[in-house]
Amino acid sequence: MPPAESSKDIQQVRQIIDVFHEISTLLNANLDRHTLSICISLIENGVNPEALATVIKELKRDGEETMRQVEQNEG
Amino acid sequence: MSSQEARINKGINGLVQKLLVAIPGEDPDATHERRNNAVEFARELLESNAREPAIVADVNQASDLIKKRLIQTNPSPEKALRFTNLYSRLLSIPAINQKWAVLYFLYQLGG
Repeated sequence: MPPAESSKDIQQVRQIIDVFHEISTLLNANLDRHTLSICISLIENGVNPEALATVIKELKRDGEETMRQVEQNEG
Repeated sequence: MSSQEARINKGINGLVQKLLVAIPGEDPDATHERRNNAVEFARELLESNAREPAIVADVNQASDLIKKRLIQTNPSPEKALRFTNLYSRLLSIPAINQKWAVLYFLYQLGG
């Protein structure tokens, strides 16, 4: 059993991810909880939030493009 | 490599793992190359903006930006009110230091 202190921290971080996840839904940012928690960790480690948003948008756009090509090939 | 850099690398790899779309029947080497290209792209972009001073370094300013957008893009004030509640809950939880930066990230991503 982890010491009481760290389980409290884990619970708080989980609560914060819940709150941020709901805020991301309000903003139509379309992030699942796991991807959001990776992003929070990156930002906590000093990554620029605006640059990270650009990376996510580009990776998603690339993914949609790849999906379109897969569907065309299967068509 | 510092532990911070290691955590950033782990995060970037995690993101690419989540967002890279699988191509049925693709040659594993091609998949590997696509993944490496995506990781390289992400790392370069994050590093080139690493020293960039954040435009908004204030949690209240980030929250005002979000509230303004929710009011402008929704006919009813419901979402803005919902955000106000979430925001005060957020401030009441002591974990996570860069709350303003996460809010600003979500604001940018949702734009």
